[in-house]
Amino acid sequence: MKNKKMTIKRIIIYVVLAFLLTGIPIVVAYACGVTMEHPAFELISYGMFGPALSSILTRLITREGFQHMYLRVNWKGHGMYYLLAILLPVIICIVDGIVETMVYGGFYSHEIFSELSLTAYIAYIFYGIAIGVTSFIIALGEELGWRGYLMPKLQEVMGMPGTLVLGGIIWGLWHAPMILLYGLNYGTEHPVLGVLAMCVMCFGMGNILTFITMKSDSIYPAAIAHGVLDMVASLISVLFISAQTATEHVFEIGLLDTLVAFVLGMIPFILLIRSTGKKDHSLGGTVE
Amino acid sequence: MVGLIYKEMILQKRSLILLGGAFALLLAILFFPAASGYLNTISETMEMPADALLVLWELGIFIILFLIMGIYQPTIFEVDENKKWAGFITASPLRGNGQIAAKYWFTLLLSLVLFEVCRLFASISVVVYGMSINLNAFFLLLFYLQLLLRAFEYPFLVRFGSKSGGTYKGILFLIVVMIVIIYLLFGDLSAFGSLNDMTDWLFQCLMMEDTISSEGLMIAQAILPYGSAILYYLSYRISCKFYQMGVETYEK
Repeated sequence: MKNKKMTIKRIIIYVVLAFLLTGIPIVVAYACGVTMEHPAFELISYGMFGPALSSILTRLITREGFQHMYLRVNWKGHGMYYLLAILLPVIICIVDGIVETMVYGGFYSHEIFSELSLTAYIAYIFYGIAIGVTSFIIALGEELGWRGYLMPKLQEVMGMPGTLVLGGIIWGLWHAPMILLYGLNYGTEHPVLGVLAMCVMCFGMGNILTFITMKSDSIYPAAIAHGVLDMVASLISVLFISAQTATEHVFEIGLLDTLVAFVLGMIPFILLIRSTGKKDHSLGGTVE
Repeated sequence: MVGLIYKEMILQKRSLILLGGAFALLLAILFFPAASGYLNTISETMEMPADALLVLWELGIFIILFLIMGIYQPTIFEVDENKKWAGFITASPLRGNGQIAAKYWFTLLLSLVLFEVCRLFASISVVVYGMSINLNAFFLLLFYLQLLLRAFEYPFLVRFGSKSGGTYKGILFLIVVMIVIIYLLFGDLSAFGSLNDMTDWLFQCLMMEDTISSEGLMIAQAILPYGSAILYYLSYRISCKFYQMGVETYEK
């Protein structure tokens, strides 16, 4: 029988550590005048290891041990989820692009294709997917914390719906320093609304990532999906909207992307609730 | 499988520590121009812009890192070239396929770690030198080339053992290199643009300029990761077939 009080304590320690380990470097960088164009800005991306580090520290502090970390590859019988990990981000980005085109008018791909042929640009997108897959280790830094630690812990104290909602909100709020200080995803005009929108987006994306983690019983598909999404999002979006539109309407486009993530995220949300309703499909993980 | 990979790490512990030390030294040398303050002096002496000199310096060090890893990786087969161990693992539930899979996964893990370490230090060097050089494409190229070379090499090591397999592999590799050089010297390179286009493309990519002057190169760049991954998997399947034949060549 799990000790709920200890689990809640672990959740609190983990969340505080994750927020501090990632947030403090961002705030310090901002205070030191590091802009998005500054060479040092790239190092901020390594703050993605904050959640993984937090999960390890929480396990050490609370003497939990290192079981149930979802570190098995579990390739046999779960290869489909590895494939989904690559395809789903591309599908999401294409749906994003179609919605943006519906709102802002026709395709603007001629901007890109004045320099490149369609074949070359599609090759470039495939190349971006390859980078995303190969760079999954950085995304693993987030997924080891959010899907590998927080979600199972939340499910121990509340049901699947609450786990998915609260997990998404926490993940969204974790992005707050980047949104408030650097205008991540939503620009700098509406920072607070941007944070709220990010919570909704993280709820949607979190559902998808939790689904593939739970079905594959491994953290790697989620890490691959996260890495591919980070890499191909901008590559695919320029096929649909012009750079000028993207710059002038960054907040509105961010909201559209949030809406798409929310709607698409409802599919795994419903599937997860149904599957946990039928059987005891807890996010307990396997014994390592 | 996890146990076999863990076994690899334990058996290779000393080698990995030495490897780590060598990498740490090389990565420290990466910052030598900044630490010594002689960059501008060397740049004037060699009549070369400081930026270009730095790019070459960094490229050289990262290439050496990948070369060292490429020399180390095939040695992971030597420790298990033992008939008793082969008999034991063949009788286990994982069988020879598990043994081979562990070697391939371990190799992939080593290459991935090197890839990420290089990316991290490239990012740090951008801060230290204040120069925007995007070496991600370069690292990706080296990573997948490394997998491609291991895919080519490992079936030889599994079939003939480390010593003989290394020799046969070396001979075949020399033949391939000669064919490539002959083609580069005399063959039709129009699909890849001119040599100027290729070097322009390389430096423009590294300096984060968006001009892509050769679509053929871009398509080749996109095919390499997928081709390497497929060939790496096929190499694993071939090695599994060769494992028992290879066991007969072990001396002890």
